[in-house]
Amino acid sequence: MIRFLPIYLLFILMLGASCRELVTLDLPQQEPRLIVEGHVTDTQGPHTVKLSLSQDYFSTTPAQVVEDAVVRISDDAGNSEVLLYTGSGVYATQALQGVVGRSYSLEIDWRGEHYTSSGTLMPKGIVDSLSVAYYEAIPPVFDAGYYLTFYGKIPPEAADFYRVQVYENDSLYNDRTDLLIPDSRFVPSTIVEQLQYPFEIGDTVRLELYSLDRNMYDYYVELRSLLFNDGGLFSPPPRNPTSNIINVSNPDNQPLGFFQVASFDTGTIIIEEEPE
Amino acid sequence: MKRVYLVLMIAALLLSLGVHAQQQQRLTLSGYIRDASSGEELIGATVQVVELPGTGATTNIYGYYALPLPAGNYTLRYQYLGYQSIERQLNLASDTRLDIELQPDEDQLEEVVITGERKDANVSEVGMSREKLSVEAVKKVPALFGEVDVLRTIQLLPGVQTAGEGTTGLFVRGGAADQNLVLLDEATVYNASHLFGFFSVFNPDAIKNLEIYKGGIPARFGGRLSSILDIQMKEGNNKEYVISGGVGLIASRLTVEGPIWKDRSSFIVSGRRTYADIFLRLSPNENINRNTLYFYDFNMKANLIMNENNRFYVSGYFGRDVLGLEDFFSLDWGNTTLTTRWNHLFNDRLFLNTSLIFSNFSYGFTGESATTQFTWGSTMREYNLKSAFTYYLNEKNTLTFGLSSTFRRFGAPVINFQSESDFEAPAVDDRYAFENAVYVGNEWKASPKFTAEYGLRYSAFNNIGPGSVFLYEEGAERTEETKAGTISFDRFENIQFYHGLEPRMGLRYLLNEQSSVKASYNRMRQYLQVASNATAGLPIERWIPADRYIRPLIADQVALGYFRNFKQNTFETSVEVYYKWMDNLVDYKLGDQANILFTNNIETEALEGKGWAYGAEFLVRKNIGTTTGWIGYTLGRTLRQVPGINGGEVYPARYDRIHDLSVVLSHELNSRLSLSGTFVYSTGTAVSLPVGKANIDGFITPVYDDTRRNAFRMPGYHRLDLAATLKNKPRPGRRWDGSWTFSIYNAYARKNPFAITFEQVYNQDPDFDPDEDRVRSVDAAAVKLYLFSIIPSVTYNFEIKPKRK
Repeated sequence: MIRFLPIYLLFILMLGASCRELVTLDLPQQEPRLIVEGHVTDTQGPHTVKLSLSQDYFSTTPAQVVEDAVVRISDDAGNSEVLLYTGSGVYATQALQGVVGRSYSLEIDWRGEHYTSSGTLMPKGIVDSLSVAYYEAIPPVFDAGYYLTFYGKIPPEAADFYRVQVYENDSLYNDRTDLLIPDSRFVPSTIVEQLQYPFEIGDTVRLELYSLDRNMYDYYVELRSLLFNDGGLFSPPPRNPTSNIINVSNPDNQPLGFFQVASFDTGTIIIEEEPE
Repeated sequence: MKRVYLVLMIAALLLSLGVHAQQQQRLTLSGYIRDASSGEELIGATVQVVELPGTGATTNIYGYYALPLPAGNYTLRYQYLGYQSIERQLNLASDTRLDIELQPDEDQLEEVVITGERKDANVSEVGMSREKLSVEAVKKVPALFGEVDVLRTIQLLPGVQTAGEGTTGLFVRGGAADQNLVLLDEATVYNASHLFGFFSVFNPDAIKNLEIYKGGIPARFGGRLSSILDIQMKEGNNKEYVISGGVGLIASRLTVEGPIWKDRSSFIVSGRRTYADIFLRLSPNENINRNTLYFYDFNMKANLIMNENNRFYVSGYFGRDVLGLEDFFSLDWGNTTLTTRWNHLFNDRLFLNTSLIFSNFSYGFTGESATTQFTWGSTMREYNLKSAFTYYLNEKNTLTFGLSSTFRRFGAPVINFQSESDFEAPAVDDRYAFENAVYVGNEWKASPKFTAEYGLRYSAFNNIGPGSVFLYEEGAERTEETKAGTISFDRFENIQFYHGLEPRMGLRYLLNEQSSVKASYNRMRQYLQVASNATAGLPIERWIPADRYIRPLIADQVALGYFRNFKQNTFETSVEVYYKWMDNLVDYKLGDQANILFTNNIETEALEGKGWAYGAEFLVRKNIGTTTGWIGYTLGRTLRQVPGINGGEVYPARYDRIHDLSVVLSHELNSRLSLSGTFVYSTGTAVSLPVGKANIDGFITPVYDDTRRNAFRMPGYHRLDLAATLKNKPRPGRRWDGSWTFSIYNAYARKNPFAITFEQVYNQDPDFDPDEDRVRSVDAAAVKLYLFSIIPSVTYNFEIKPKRK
């Protein structure tokens, strides 16, 4: 996968003349918008949908959550379930199972407006193996340390689009640089990807490979583009990622977020001293 | 469209008026006007007939003039600003060739020569919306890191905007950066920037003259919507050998010029190289000293005066940027141009220049990680044959006509992977196009008060094979899903044809000796563009031709102006208002650059819309005296409307600047010391600002209102630069001339925002890396990136000449 290095930033870094500093701006405001984070995986569940609201950009209070919505997930095998509110804006299934090959649809009713989305659980890509190798530093980009290489196998019937999530000792790497979304249209059967940051001896690294459909993949591409946006100088003008959820009742009040229906595979490795 | 037909009719009418030639016995006075010390042809020098006020001629870019006159006794006055005027008595009894050499005016040589032409050119020339700059004027302007830069100086003229502090891209009267035709000795320079736009590719030591056309563009130019930037390289001294150069903070220059065959043939070779990487290498810090970062430029030109009627030129440019980060990656890019020209005089009145031109822009990128190695490169190439005739019909009419034929290869990004993964690199096809144009124009001096310059250009474009076109379901939006087949085309087979007329017109009416009003109209058609929806360009930009789905860009512009000179032409002032309509502008849907760079069906990403720009430009300029310079102010708007973007509503372009002020002043304290300063102010960049934030999947993301694109402003931009130049003591017969230039960029150290980004910041530190240390807080923050605080620099320039007799 070709990733666009922010080359110009690198150049500026090398020039050493540029500086970054925090600024406070008088930003415009907007009515809070509904944020949906829905996940269905190929497991027994519970599958969850979290509902919250957007806030002013510089707000320091915790985001408001939505507690009074009706959330329903159905599959194309005739199963349907209203999710149970479990607190903190999270609604969870109790019985609905995630089965590869089935399609799932989401319906949300809140404040008189109706939101829908759907997705299919694609056959999954396989985490074949993980390996670790020690590399010397390549300043200023890479530090010395143990670098993880991930080998994935993509069966012919599996999805074309993936997202990789990395956990170190159970904490998720979730910086914008950790949004790994290899596009397997260029990768017919195997993925080999080296993580761009090093680990230390004793770390337990878990890797999850999510199989996405096109819409969800595009969402992440747009999300990454937004997270790296420079305001429109070298990057395109910033815009919200296209959500796969639609407000059917009021087209002028579209929600943010996504309904991700994705099977996943996982692999774990403990970083050890390299045998000489 | 009505506006076009109206102008067409007017143009046709004028054409029929102008060409009723008076068949009276006419003789022709013609020749070249040159610099007596170097033999360089003077562009825009004038000859005037003292006995016939209002009768005269101006040299073309090859230094040639021709003046049809009835037989008689005349006093001829040859003039060029900064040179001693010469008067000649002539009994014109037959066609006469008179080559003139003008002596540089030693008293005036120390002064800035902003324009090299007749003193009242501002008022008397028919052209408007165009600015000439001599390299001497450019060299007076305080420069970033002491590197004199022609494009940065052009950005100080009214009507020309920049994308941001460190960028050399030009945004002329609401046009985008790819709507400027940048010509170096007639060859297109596709990417005129070095180091991502901090510097331009034009080595000032190799440049003689430059002129920018913002409007009222003559029929001989075409191919871009917004401006023509016409840059001529020096010919080289044909009398004596001169070595000149400079040593600066980041770059050095060396130029050698001299005669090959005295008075008949000369050459110039000029090189420039930065050495930032040499300093990097000296650094004890391993993080820095193993990297590469430099650019170089190499210009060469030679010419031969074969005989009175034939002259040949060959000139070339080669430049490259190289950026490397150890073995991890490297990126290099650059332009190559080669121009061969033949000036031929069929007779004293018919001048022909034929040029064969090659131009190339390429970039290459290599990247390597433990598992993957890839190279990625692309080449844009152009071959151009041009013939341009000038026919000095009579003292009232000067006809220009010619043709141009261009072949372009739009090299697709070529990617090679070597990887353990069985990657398949995206296969993108090269694309090919022919562009042909014929034109005719006339400058008609209808009366001493009224002059018209009008013409018609016809351009025709073929997107040709090999190539293929995707078909889409009828009536459906063009997407991957609605593809309904492919048509393939053989080599040279026509894929898509576009053509059209481009009327041009300029009028000048002299109110009195000091003032005039001018009006102009031009239509421009552009058959290629950069596929990008970013404002500033990276060197990895991709040019695409018009094709089955992407239509040519079309612009119409009208401008009106009032021009007035004061105090014997010491002060030139002008006010111009303009309105420009642009059709078939392309914007892109989502904007992941990879979707635009690596695709054969860019039409699925493209959206078509329109744009318009209007404004008023004010200029006060002083060209003569110890204090020279200009004050330019532009009040303008640049707007866009593209269905599918911003909810279909009108939005400002990112480079829409309501106010734009430049003050450029230079003062000679004495014959050795001069001071100069530049102040710029402009309205902040139009940007989209977040209207909220959302915490989605652990990412704090800004939330935008997708119907308020570029609806907000960054803080205003202003900056002051200062420079002082100290020359060595003048001494007769001195062989070595040297001067020191000390400059300060951004003298009051304003932190002008280059970009403001909205990102999650850890521990209130915008540079904190969460992989490195413990995260105590994560916040949504606005981070201002500013490039330069105060930057002092020093440059030493020298010139070595043979001993004077």
